[in-house]
Amino acid sequence: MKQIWQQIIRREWGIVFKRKKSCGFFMCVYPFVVMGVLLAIFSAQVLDKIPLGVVDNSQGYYSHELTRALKSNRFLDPRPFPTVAAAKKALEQGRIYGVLAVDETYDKDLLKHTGAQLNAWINNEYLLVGGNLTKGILSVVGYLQSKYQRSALAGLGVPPAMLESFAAPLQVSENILYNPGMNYIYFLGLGLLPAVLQLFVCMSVCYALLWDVKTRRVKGLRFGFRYHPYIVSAGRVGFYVGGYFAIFVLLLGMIILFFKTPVEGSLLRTLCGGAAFIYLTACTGLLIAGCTNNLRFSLSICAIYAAPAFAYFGVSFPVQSMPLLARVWAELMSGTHLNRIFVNELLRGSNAGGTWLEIGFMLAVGTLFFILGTKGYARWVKHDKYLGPQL
Amino acid sequence: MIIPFIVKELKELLKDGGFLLLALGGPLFYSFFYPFPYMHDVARQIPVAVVDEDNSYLSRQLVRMMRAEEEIKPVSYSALSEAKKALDRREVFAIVSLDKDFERNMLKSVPQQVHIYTDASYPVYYKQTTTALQRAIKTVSAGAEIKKLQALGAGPAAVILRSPVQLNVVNLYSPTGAYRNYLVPAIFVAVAHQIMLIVIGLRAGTLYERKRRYSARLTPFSVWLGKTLSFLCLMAGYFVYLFVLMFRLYGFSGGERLVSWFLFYMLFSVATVGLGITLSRWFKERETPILFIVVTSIPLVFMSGIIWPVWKMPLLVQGLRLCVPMTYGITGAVRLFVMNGTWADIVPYVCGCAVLAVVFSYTAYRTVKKRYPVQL
Repeated sequence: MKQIWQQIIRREWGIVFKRKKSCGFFMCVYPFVVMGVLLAIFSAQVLDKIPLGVVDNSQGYYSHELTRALKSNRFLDPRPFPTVAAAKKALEQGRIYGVLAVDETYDKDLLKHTGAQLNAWINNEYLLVGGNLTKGILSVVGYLQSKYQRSALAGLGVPPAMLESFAAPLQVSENILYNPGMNYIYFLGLGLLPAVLQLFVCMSVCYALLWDVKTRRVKGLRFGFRYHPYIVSAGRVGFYVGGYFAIFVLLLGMIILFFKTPVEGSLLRTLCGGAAFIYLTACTGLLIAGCTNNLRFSLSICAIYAAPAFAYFGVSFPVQSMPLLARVWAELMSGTHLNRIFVNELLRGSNAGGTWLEIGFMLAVGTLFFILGTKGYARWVKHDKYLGPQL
Repeated sequence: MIIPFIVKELKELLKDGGFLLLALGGPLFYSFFYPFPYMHDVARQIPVAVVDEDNSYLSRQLVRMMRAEEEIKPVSYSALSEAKKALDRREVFAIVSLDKDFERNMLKSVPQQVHIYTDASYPVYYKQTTTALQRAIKTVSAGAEIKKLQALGAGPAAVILRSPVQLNVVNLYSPTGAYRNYLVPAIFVAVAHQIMLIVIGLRAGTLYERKRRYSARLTPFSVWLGKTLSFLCLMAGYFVYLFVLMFRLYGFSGGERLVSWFLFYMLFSVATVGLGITLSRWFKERETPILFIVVTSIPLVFMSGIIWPVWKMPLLVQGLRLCVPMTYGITGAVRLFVMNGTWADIVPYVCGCAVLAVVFSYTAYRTVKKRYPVQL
């Protein structure tokens, strides 16, 4: 068995790195390029200092105090505009993401206790930007409101010791767990890793298996497939699982080291999860190849299976909030499980039982796909009529 | 001369099973598959653990207020440790803890804290739970504040005294924060762009494998023009399917800007087809374009600025995104359909796309000329 595997691994090595160098590039360089671009996009990590147009029609002490408070907020980058129309134009052109207009009578109303008005227009088309901008404005207004409220209460004769109970009888003490700094690389970066690798692994395995059939080179493995189909198949798939696992470790290492991603749980369990994910994805590739025996068709199926996967992983939208069929499909995606393992082990440091359950599921389904895929693929290999045209 | 070439080219394309699967099956499949997870638009009824140690009238009132919020679904737990375990198991996505002396402190005018623990490892859940919980707690608090202020003799001014600064927030373009409206137009542009690149590459790879030659009557210019026009016919078909039929099916707004969008879309299509023919120079097998182009879909969508704002990207990426037609297509679609913009709002993108259309058409012509008379 060892000899068969050695022979197969040498053969695959020869194909990827000598005979089909584009395959070597696709497997060893391209994932780093794609992931590198994606990580570069999110390299700012935190969505802060969002440009906000401020139209101060009051130009008084209180409106200046508001502008100062806006400047000190980490989410906001206030930029003055002379009129609301000019600010709205800048908003439409995408130069700013929100407009905050201070009423002409803002200072007067505050002094007269008649309710000062602020109007905000938020570009909610960019959900992340809109969310943080609203959060920033609300926190600044909330801070000023409680300050003015306290001074008004003191004016009404409320003793300082009682101010708190009058101004905020019920207070919120919020503990943001797992990602308190709202670092986007922690969930987007980690979510993109399975999305990218799922595509690469599935397509590489399909390509390697069916390119051999298309070019009739697989005839060299016919003897092996006739007598030891599972061993030969394991050797072939194992080569790609091993190679992509090394790539997975390097990419995950990059995310952990360069972006200081926390590892709250066990790195070992995370790596086991990564290995199971690559195994399941490779076996899915084998199953697709085994079912189709058509290189172009199988790659199209891989693209259909893996390209929109990111939408189903639960990164951009939670799995539990999807329609039932989408949830079922999400569970069939290896990336959904790896994403949960990342959240469990890297961000939360909890639910080790859940991690092992995900790993077990991936291994079980992977093995089922491996058996079915090998059966199908061996069928194509054994007979000349299924091979590509004689060149 | 050119029209028979276009007809022949289209006939040959339609005879190719692999082409049909991708060019017709791809948009058909993706138009349902991509928007499907976002069909519910926003996350609602997210389970939230409530540990009510007081179990008093006031604490129950607060829980009732939480139940009224559509984003969350309070689930009772007897102890914080149990709730924490449920959070670990992902049965709940936030915890609210009410102290034993909740009502007593409120009645005694001792400021009372409501402890909330939110799970920020899922940003959508975090945003929804924190917003809903804060709203419920602040509503109860506001009621208590106003009562106290009225007891102090503030009268009807109590409301203004409670919130001296009134903030009116208007969420533009996507008021409900719905994912479908926001993502789908952009995804449709990405689908048309990527499928076109693959299809052009697939055709070039097939012809390279067959090593067929053009008739001597066809010049490289007429070949380039004929190929471009035949692929543009396909792009026009995608327009009708994705932006007319599917938009109606999903009930998207923006139909009134269809003519503006069609004009811009065709310019985007010229740039895309030019890029596709240029790239096809490197595809010597039928399958290679599927392999190499599909994996670029994810970075190109993110580079367009639809999810992460452009000003937060490094300069190199900002420069790189300007060389891809998809960037202009997505931005234009978002401006017209999501932001209800007019032709004037997309002028910068029209100019950018026009530059790319000219550049890529020229490089495409060079590619055809280089391979001529062997078919591409």
